[in-house]
Amino acid sequence: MEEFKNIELRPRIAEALKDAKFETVSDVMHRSEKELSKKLKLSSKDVKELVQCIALEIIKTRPLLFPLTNALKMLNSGEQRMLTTGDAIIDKILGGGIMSCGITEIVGESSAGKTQMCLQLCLTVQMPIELGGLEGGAVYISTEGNVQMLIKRTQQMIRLFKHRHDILKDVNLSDEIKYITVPDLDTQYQVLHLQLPILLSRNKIRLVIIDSIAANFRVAYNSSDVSILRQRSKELCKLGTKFKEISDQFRLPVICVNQVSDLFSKNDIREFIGNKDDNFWEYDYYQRQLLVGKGSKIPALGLLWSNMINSRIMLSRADRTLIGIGDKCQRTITLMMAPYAPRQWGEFYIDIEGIHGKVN
Amino acid sequence: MSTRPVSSLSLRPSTRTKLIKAGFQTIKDLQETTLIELSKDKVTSISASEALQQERKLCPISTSCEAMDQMLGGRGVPIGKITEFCGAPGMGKTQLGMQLCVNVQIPHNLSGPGGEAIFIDTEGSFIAHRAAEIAKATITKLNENTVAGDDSLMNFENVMSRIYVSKVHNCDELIALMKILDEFLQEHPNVKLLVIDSIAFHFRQQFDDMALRTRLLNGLAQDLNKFAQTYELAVVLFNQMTTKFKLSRDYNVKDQAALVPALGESWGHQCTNRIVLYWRNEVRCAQLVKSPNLQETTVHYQINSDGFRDYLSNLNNNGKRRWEEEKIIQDNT
Repeated sequence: MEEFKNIELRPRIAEALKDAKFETVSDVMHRSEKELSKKLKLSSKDVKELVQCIALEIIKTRPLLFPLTNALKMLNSGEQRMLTTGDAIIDKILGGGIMSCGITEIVGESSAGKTQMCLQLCLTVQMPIELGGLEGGAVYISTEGNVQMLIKRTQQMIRLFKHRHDILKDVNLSDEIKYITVPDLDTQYQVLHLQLPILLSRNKIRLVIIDSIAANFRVAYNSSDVSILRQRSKELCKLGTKFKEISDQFRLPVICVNQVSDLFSKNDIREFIGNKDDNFWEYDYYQRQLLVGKGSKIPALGLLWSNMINSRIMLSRADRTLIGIGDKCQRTITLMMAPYAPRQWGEFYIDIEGIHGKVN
Repeated sequence: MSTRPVSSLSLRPSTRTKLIKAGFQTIKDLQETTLIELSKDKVTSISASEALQQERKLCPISTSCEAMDQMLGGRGVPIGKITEFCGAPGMGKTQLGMQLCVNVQIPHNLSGPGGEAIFIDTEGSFIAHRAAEIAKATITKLNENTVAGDDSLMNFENVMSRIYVSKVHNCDELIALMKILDEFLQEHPNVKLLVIDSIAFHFRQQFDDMALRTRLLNGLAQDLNKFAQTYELAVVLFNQMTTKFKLSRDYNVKDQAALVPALGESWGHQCTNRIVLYWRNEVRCAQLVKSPNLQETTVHYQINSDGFRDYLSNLNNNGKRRWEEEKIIQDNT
């Protein structure tokens, strides 16, 4: 947090701050005016001036915070646009594509097509803005250590992608995708806080993908102990805030791939619904709307993480026992929640080119 | 002499409390202020009937959902008070916020407050495109009922440019913004709505010291209350939900997990009205859980492409799955 050195204050106020051993801006902001005047032995007028000064100082360095912009300017600036998935039907289901700011979560069971969708986005993000791209590269942070396979699959997709889009014929698409592997939570922390900001400031990158967000958390905090869960919540909060900061600072969307976990109390849901007590907002009932496919699975990391994300896309396979080829394997894509579009769903399939919406 | 506290002066108790409330603590503080400033500092009081009259003059902000307006006292979100909406993700909190930002601009002759709005975005969910959609739908609906050529019609560009947006990244920024906002509100006296979406986001983390959090929240609530009263604006806060485990004492009844508004018990006292949004039987519901003057009721609502609306039970269910999901079918044409 900022220190006082660079802030111009009246000598008597600066002196008082020094005497009271106040060092950072938070020391002042976290106290009420009354408390300040007591601690600093200043009159309330001086305290008001001090608080104003510091508030102004905080605000000066944050262009998004102040001066207040208006919705018309935001609309015309084109900062909030949609990143296409490369398929018109899927774009329509998703309300235009992926929002170019904030955190979008892609959740689904294993083999639902999450990674395929992400890889496809790594390519479409490089398209020109007129075609729905963001004209930049992508960073793919993988927790699963299968980078070689990802690269192979990307190469395959690139060939076909170039075939479809002549405009990108001479661009080296794979050069613009950076892969990072984070095998554990410590590395993840280091990458997100140190390496990623440097990487983003030096390269023209317009998409950050983390696949998957849950993996390292589930390993590191694998306990039902309350204090450990509390620690997990805190780390999740920090992570969410960090992603939002990155998203705003570098003007790019952050995509988090999430796993699913079992909803243990599924059997009890019937009882809960029978419960006519209107003063009771059941957690299970809330979770029921998140169920993936026909199963009893819900997005991992709980309600707290759900509060962190801006939109959620859910992929699912109807029946996992039916190993279908092409049409037989019914996959659905659902926009679960988003501030820009209603809840919508549709069917899709995956082929060698990537993911496509199904035409009925 | 100058450090003698105000409380030791032989004043009428009411004056004394007012002085203390206004931040005067020592004689020195009083000496530094002029008489005019003193009288401005709200050392005057009003009677209950005057207060009632004043409140009647303030036009509430419609939510575009009649049932919800009724629940909130007939005409919508009250001005001069803090109203809090709590809900799990995906319940439509941000949608309601954007709808209110548009509705606050409905002009006086259409029985709206005719004001402007500030939207403080902590979650990065304010989407200008969506606000534009809501604004267009609202304007079209209003214009249907008015005579063409009326000067007071709402204009899309004006509506959008009167929604002021600020993005906040941590709680220090939020507190700093509150200190600066005073000046902004003086320059823009027409602001009738202040939305914070959401109040909980930055306060649910970074705090090991719960006492500090409570103190900061109280300070924030004080600032908001001050804005609501001095500038006669509606403060609308959105709050997240958190899980609370209800341990069962009966051996044959399972433990239940309930959703409760975040930020704890003490925060619950800060707002005038509190509404919880939740799903019931796959319909969106809103329940008024705290209000000094209104009855606790539950209403249904829905969110469609036009914005926040009344729930219609005879919805065309074509292509709808559960939980309002709509299937997108691409036609070949």
